[in-house]
Amino acid sequence: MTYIEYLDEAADTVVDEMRREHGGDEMWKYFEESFNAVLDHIDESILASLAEAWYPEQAEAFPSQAVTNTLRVLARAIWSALSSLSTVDEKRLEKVDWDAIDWRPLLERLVDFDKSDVGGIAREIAKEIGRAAGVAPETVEKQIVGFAEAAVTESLSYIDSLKRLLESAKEIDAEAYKEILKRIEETFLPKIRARITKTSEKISEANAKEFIAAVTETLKAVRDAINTLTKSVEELRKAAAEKPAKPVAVKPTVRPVPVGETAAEQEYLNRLATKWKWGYSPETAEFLAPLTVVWAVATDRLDEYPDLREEAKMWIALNRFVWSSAVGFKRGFLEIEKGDFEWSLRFFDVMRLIENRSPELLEILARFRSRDEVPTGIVYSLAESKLYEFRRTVHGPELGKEVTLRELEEIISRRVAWLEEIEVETGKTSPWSAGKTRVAVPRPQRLLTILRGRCPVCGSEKLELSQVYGPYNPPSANCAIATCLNCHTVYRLYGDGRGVIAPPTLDPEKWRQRWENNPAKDSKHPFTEEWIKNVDVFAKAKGFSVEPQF
Amino acid sequence: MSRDRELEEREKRVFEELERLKRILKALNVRAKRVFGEGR
Repeated sequence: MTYIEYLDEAADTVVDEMRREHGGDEMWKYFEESFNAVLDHIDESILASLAEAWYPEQAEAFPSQAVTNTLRVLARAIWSALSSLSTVDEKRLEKVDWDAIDWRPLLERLVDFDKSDVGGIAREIAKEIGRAAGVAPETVEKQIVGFAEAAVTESLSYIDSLKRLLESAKEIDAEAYKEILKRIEETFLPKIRARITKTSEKISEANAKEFIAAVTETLKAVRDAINTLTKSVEELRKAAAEKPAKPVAVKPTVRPVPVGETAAEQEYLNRLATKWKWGYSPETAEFLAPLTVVWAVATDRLDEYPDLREEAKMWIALNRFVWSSAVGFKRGFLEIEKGDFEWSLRFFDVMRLIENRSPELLEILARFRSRDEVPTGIVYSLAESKLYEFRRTVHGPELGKEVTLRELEEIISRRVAWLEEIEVETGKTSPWSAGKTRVAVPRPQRLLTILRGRCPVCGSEKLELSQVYGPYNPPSANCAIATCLNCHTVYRLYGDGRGVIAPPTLDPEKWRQRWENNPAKDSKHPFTEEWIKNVDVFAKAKGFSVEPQF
Repeated sequence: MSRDRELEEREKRVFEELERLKRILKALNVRAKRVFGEGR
């Protein structure tokens, strides 16, 4: 039998499946119309190409199964495309003439996609349907991505507030704090986790409509937690005004040393554990976590350390270069066993840049935000070019000096010790604060206040605030960053009060081109030559130094 | 297990989990951009 002869039966199976999943949805009629149009336009050669590209083994042995699976991929991608478009305006789908869409060349193009790339296939389909519906792809993109970004930013700030509230509850009433912690752990965290899992599933399915719903639910779960906790803390404060309670001192706990596979590996881990004391404050944990994850990935131990699994996924999702580092880590062990430390040194330098969330590294990464991944080479060359400066920032006297692995470990252990000695000045009191030196870290909010909520250069309100990076030694290197998504000017505020305004360039033509090519540009604030003057005006008014990026 | 020890462990779990959730949310945002945003 030919592939096309399997088509009707396969289509019935797939439509039944889709109906069970989405039958009651408002989009169902558009799905039926579009899927039927695809079935009408698909012929033997296209179907065979798709089936052989996506299911090569089945295509030969079980052609009927290959056809069913191929249609299943198409159906799911069509659903995803419709769900993306419906986030803009579902009514526009009413106007689509499904048979007028040029399905054949579209289906032919899909052969080049991996079957697991539902997002990519759906985007390709959405372009064609969007064209027929009069919806520009950029509109869809902005709508979904903008929504996700806003919801995630808001959720993150709620989580930070939650942490602050917990700490304040602890200071007010130690007993009540225990109950609140229990409630957070047993009621709120599972809810938030479940919502996040659902959000993740919807991203995997590239289902924009349900993704937005899931993100909204996640945000709601975090907000509910904070509202409830705020009420509890307010009640505690009221009660404490009558009878003050003593805070309970809690010491940091100790994380067990991971188990090495070979004697050399174990010795290495023991050495790290001894040097780093393997019991650490949140600041140090932040510093060490990626190394531990990379170690677990490199040595295939993720199964033994489930808590690291999610962390690893996050790093891998964020930047694939961690995979390269993981491979390097494995090689690093071999080199250490052989006694050749040269390669390991370079690896540690790269890792350190990542671990320290170097502002320079992050700024460079930000420029690549529109690409699928950050090329590993960039990170490596950055590590090389920034090594000198980086050593100066972190280690002062060791400026430009070549070091052995042993010395490097000492440098790392000194940094860890320093992290353990300081209390980052964020206005909170943590169990780890007692007797520590306070180090000022500028908060992004402070930078936002200086900027008055909008970019002083172009006037756009599309400002992206970055986390506070660091803490660095010396503290004057601690830095908060704001980036204007419209004109690409970067503002940095350092721990010692220094400010830097970094426009992309001071060349009007180059800046104009950059703005025109910026997919996230704010059309309400187009490029004008005034921008260059504004850089100078702002720098003078606020005492910032001007450091153009190019 | 003593009550203090229990509290310490719970506190550690909750704070670590909140940090972990933050990291996962950031990673989700990156994934969402990749799936729904870039490449169009």
